[in-house]
Amino acid sequence: MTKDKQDKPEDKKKKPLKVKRKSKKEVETDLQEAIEGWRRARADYDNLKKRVASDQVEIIRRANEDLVLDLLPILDNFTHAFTGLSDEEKDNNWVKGFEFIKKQLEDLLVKYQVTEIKTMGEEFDPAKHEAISKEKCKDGKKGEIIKEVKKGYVMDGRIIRAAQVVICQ
Amino acid sequence: MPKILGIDLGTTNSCMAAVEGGEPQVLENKEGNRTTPSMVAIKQDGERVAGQLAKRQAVTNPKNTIFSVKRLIGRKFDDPEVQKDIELFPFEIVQAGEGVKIKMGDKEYSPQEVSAMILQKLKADAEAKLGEEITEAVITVPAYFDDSQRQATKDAGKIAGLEVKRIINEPTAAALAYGFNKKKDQKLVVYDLGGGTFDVSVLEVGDDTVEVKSTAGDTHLGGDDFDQTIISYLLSEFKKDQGLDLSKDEMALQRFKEAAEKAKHELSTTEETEINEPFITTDESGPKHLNMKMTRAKLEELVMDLVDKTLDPCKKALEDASLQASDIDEIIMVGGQTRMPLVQKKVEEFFGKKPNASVNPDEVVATGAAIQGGVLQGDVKDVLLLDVIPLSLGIETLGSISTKLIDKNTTVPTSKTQIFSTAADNQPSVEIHVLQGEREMAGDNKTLGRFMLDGIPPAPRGVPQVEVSFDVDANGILNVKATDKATGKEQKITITASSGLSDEEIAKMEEDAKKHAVEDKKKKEKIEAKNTADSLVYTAEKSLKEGGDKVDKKIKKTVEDKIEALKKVKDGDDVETIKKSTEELSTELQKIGEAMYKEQQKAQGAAGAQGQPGAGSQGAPGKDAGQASDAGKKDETVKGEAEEKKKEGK
Repeated sequence: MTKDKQDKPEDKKKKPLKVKRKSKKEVETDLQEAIEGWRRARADYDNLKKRVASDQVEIIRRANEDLVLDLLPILDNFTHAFTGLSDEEKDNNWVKGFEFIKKQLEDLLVKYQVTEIKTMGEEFDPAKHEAISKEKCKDGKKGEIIKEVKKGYVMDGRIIRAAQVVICQ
Repeated sequence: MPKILGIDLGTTNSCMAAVEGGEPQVLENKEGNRTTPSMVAIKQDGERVAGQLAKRQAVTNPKNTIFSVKRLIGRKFDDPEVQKDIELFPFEIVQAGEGVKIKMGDKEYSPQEVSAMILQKLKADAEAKLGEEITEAVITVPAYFDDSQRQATKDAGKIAGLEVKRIINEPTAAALAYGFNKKKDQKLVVYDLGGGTFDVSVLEVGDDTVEVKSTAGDTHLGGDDFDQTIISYLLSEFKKDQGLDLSKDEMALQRFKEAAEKAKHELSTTEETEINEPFITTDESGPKHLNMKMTRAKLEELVMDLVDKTLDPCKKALEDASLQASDIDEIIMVGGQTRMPLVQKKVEEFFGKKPNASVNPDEVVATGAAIQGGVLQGDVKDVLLLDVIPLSLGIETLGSISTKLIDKNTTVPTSKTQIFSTAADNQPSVEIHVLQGEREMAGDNKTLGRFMLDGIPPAPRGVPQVEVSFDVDANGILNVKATDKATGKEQKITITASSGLSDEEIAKMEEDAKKHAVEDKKKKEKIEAKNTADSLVYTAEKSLKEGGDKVDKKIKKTVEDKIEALKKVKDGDDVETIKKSTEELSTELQKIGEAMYKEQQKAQGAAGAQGQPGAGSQGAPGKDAGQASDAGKKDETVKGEAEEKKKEGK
């Protein structure tokens, strides 16, 4: 402890002698680094601006997509509801009315560029179809889609939901 | 500089992240998801697919769809784990020397090669996202992985075209993501309940290292078991209710699965959810619906055993580390299933401490890996610390209001320029009173300095343009300059960082600002109403003086009355009354404007279109010129420059 204290004043005295002026080369290196850093910062900023612009487009797209994805189950259930109706039931005016409501939902999707993915009879493609199961089938080719469990959709060229299908074994 | 990709190569799902702009960011894959199924397949047509696509075709192609390859990597064929898994996997595993190979298509692949296919997919998607080539990565592995498993993981990276800069432990990565690697001697527990595996690790932070003291877990326990429990419950309830067993109906089962997952997620944030799957099936009697309510309590009752099963490994890990639950400083949650409140509650009860779950538990490991990558990259001089100004900077304007030029939290260096004007006719000088703080009134903020700009040529109020510019350099030194645009005369002041405030003072000022926000706003509103009233009285009197003879006597009289009325109320305390009187005068005044305008048109005839002096200019000069009596009174209160142009415009 005491030793430390004694040493310090000496250090202080010595220090100023050790201070050297930077050489021209050192100054040039410093400058080069500073310019390089500045360039990088400018580039970073420029990139950020571009990124923010593209992010904004992406955020809007994403928000629309989320909303559409939450709406789809309603349409799915309308589809479930209308499958397996007897002819008599199909003629019922109540049923018809509900079908018009379903149509409204479908039109809404079209308005937002949401289109259905083709399934029946198509060859299975995991890029847009999700296989739920496979079944033996008489006339279909192997790997062909024979049942649609849930419709798939494309929005602005992007698959927002893959179609769930059953394929021929 | 190429980025180092941080990869959490998981048993069920993988996740990747990279440091961008100094912050770790999770990167989305091509399909737009933040996690990627750790699955690979060779389709019938020979095409290889990985990730989501492999998962989608799994049921059609079970023999050639490989998942959970992490359970095999770097293990010997006679390893009991491998032998156990062989029975569970639908794909074929063969012995190759001491190790294993997996049959896919008509070829055999080592687990490294299969892992590499997943890594390749991640690499390609990251490159697409970042727009640059990725050649280096940090990959995480479970803490219990031995040398051979680690080496095999490293080889997988190499096969995928990635130089693996480092293999780090998953719990260590999670600790990095929370920044818990800095406090020496800190003891951490990482509780990782993933899709199919459970791991718990005890860590101790050393000088420059994070040491894994012990690990324990259950290789076949995870979120999937939770889902299965819920599905079974829903199926049995439906059977009880409708008398139908749908467990063999693939189409209905799919909907049960989705409903169970949705219910599980929703019950993490709500106490009750409705499971609503109408028209789930049809029999002779007509359509059947799955419609039931499920409470969080019911869910917790169902999965209680599963959660309890995680506590034994926790106990074991503590024992192996020779620690008590009370020795643990921090608990970190990893894996999607830890979002369940019951899991968090049980962990909290066990360790007697609230677990950390603020970083997305699906992404926390990849985030930590990216941070490690950033640290490795940071060896190269690249880090530039950017400072922000802690409190807003501004000047005092008419009525002792503090007008901010630079908002707090602005990154420095920065500068801002704004034009102000005078508050009185023939005002020869303005005082620039530089302020720091968030309060609305000048007096409540800290004075950083003040100076006068004089020699402003005589002119009506609002006409002179005084440009005030603030410039904060990278060291936080503030330069304030005021220039009279007409004469080019300027004055400036430099305020060094030393005249700023300590952290405590800043905190106090911020608190004050919050505390007084409402009353400050009211005070400011009152002054602004008075300023607007003053300005309008001035304009009105001037208009009468200049154009009064052209105006109908009746209108003139009304305007005069309204002026008197406003003068009476404008110095009072009732903001609403001031605003109302101002509004009334403003309406009357428009009539004079109209009358004058008509006169002018008449006088100028067809050439009238050009004859609107000043109409397109700043607006302020024409509006405010003339009349001194009223403005003269205000000289004491007006410290310097008058209303900001912006505010005038409103």
